[in-house]
Amino acid sequence: MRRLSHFSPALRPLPQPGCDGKARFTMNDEMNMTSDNAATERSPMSRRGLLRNGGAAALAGVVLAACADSAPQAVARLGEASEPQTLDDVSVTDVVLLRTAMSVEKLAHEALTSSTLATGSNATVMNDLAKGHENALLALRELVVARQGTPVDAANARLKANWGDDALALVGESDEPEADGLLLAHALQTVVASTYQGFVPKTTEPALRGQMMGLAAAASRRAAVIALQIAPGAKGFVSELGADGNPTFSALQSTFGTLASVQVQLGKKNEAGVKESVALETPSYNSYIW
Amino acid sequence: MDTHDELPTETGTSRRRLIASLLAGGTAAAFAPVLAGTARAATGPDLPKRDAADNESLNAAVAREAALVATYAAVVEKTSGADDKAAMKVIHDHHLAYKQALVGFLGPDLAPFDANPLAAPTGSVAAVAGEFSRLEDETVQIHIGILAGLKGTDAASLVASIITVEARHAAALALLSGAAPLAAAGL
Repeated sequence: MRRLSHFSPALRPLPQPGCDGKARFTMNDEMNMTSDNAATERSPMSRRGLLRNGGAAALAGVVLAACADSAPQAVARLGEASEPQTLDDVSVTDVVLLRTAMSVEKLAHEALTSSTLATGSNATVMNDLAKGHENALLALRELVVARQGTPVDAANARLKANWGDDALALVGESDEPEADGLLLAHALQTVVASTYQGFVPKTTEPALRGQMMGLAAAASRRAAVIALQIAPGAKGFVSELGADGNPTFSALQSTFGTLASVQVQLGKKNEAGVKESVALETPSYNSYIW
Repeated sequence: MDTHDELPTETGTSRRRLIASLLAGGTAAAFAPVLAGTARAATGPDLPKRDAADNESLNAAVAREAALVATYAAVVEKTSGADDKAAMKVIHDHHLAYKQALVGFLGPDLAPFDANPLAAPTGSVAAVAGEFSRLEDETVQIHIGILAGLKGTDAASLVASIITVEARHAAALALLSGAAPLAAAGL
């Protein structure tokens, strides 16, 4: 047993008065002192204390939760805060895919018939190509209605905001608006075809996959026709290494149909002679028309 | 003489860290349902990836692609102009890739097939391009018909990726043969 003289005066407890009026120490006092001394040597957040306090807090939380009123109550708050919105669970159905395809066809149609693309020597070809989208929209409308869906008459707002408006604006300010217009039209047809191709594994009806790919084939044909307006003749079939070290534009750029974004250089050239690059993306869940 | 005290090395998994990790993990688990409640859960249909019933259709697609490979191989050999030869060669290579992809997909389910040319046109590329455009268009229609009957999504995706480019072949060859752009586009 350790002697009390070993403690510092500051920690030494007051002696308890005995029956005879004399101060005396008891065994408990000594034990308490030993314990206090140990506490001073430990860190203020011991593991044991943490576990004990944490357990007590958790127990209190459980008790409070059990006693809580299950009815929702308005919680007082300061300042302006929007209410959290719980979004609906949604599932990708054939109708959703068809409606989304309609919105993409509409987006391409609007771009081709815009005053930016359907202008000058491109006016005829753009308006002719737009007829392909009109045919596709009519076919899609029938497919949507046959499945008790509601047809879409507006361009895909998210894709329009993400790249559609920017691409058209760049063509508008370009020094070569007609050449850039053809490049954008080609990219749009490629995106339309890729959209259908990407929908194939998500479509439940095998027959509908075939119908969608019929529309994709039509878009691909239009893409090839535009590509050969840009790079005419047999030379336009194959990409070569250009003077700038990049592959030249061609009608048959990939062996298999791509689902990647379509990169297209549009607008005014900068000091280095390079145009701005725009990535045309196919729709994803956040741009589906649910 | 080295008088530095050796400091105890801190282990990567001390009890204090373990407790802290448990507390952090518990907090994350408690908040997960709250965060999940604000997320949009998009689910797709549960479709079969592969179906043995598709093998017969896919074997037919292999036979068609093998025939096109043989057709273009003959033309590439006879073509002299560099650009014309390159154009025919790239289409030949595409069909070869399609055949190989389909053969690889079928694996042991591949059936024997003939690889006879579908046509033996003679003359310049511009002269034969019209006939080849018709063959490509026919192939697109055949593949669309096959796709419309496929149950497995993997096979459907593969055939779809072939259709997209073969439709380009058809239009490009039509233009090369002298067709008007509108007609080449199928409008």
